[in-house]
Amino acid sequence: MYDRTLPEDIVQSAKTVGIIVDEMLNPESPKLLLNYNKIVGIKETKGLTIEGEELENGVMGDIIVEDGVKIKEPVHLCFGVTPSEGVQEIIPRFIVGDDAEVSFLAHCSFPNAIKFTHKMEGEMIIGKNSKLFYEERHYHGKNSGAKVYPVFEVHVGPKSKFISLFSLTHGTVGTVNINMDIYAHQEAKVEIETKAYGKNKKDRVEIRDAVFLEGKDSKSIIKMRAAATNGGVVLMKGITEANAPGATGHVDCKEIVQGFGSIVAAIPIVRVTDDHARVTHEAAVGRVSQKELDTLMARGLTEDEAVDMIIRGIM
Amino acid sequence: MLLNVDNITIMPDDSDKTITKNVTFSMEEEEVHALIGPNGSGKSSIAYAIMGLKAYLPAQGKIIFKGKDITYASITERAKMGITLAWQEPVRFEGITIAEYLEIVAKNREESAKVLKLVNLDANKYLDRKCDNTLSGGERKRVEIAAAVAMNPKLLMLDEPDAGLDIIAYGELSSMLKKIKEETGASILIITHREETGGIADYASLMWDGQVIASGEFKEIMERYCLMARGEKKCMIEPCPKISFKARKQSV
Repeated sequence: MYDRTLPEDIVQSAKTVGIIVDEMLNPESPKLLLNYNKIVGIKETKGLTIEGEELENGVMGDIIVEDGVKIKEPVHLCFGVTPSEGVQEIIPRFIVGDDAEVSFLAHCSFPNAIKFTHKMEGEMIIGKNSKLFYEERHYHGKNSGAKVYPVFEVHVGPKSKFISLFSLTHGTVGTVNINMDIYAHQEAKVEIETKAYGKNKKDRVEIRDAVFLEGKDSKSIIKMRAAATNGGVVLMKGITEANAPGATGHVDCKEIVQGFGSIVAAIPIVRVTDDHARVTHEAAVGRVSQKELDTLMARGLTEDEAVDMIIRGIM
Repeated sequence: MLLNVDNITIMPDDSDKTITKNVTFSMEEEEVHALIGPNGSGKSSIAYAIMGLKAYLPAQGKIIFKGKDITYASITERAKMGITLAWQEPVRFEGITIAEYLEIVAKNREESAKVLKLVNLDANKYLDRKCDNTLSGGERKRVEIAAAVAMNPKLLMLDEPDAGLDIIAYGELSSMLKKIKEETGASILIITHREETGGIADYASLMWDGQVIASGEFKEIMERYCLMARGEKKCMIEPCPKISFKARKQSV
């Protein structure tokens, strides 16, 4: 019989990315915990329904927050896999009703990945006047052996707010290709922050965050932070389309490249089809300043430690 | 002897211009030494060479620290030997808190609070603030000095600690430097062109056009500097003797 607990490797990697494990494992805290294609923990709370079905290679699930429900504590999601090889497919759907509030703290952990693929096809539907905060922290181990392909489609209802924070800054990356399409309705607000750090020549990150401001007076900001060192490659595309009067958006990309063979590319794409809309962008790509390095080395850090600290600060 | 800067000449990598030429001076343990001179005379370049910045490695000469030739040692190696520098214009680190910056060397929050107190900053207010452009120039400068002090250095170099300070902070600087001297017991190399800032120094070396033209008691050297600044260069004729620091301590 399959062990219905979270393996220690996954718990440890949760700690590595800053998850408060005691909170995540607290029997009373709302959660959905997966180990490969097994559901190892579900805890619902008043107004929060979590349903899941185990598939051959993964899990399909619905997470539903009812109208008027405001969940104070974060809902923990853990998508973990310990084997070094295989394929995991996760198909989650998040439905947040009207006048509701919820925050998700997701932890995707593949600590032993060598030839492992994780695919996610997610959908988020947010009703009117609601708020959804979604944070996803990844840990892919030390072997650059993970291939991670998440695709998300998000609909942000009138006067609602969607905040997404994605970070992959601990351990190696492997291959990551993220695609996110977000549709903002009337007076909706969208904030996307993405951070990725490629540390060696096997690490390749491609992220495409696209926000479509379809509703009147909708607003968005996309903030992308990336670093590539020792041959890593990070390509980020922040797309904002403003298609309604009063829609305003901003794309802000900042990237650091350090070491032979490292490549970063920041591509802000803005498209405006309404003459009462406005989208701005800024992008900066460069190496770590020598003076910053010298300052930290004068405190006793090695050059690599100093680069790491500066990048983590920017992240 | 703690430090012996022996006949060093600095030429930047990408130019044939000489920044400093045949600079020689030395420091004893626990000595406070001021490197004085006008802007562009090469004072900061000497500090960068002692710290080991790549662009300031000497084209000739030696730097000996505690009997060891460190002329081509890395910055990190020198820092681990107890040499550090508080920069004239400290960089700002995006996303790094003052606590994180100090705790590169300070053991814990308590120790960080202690060094902030030395530079007259309230730890409760500052430790969790970002070390970025939300700090004023004066605040950032104090944090920089605190970070250098936190290393418990053998040789603490302060590059123009008075630059960019407002009148209140400037007034506090002298007593702050005295406190640092008393509490750390470090040898201190102060780079300045102000008498008040160098006031805690036992000795001084005067730099002019990239050369040390005199070394000796701080007050005497400062007087010479003032004369030279007024165009009276005759003071260059007589060498200024340097009494050994140990001998001076014994005579007190």
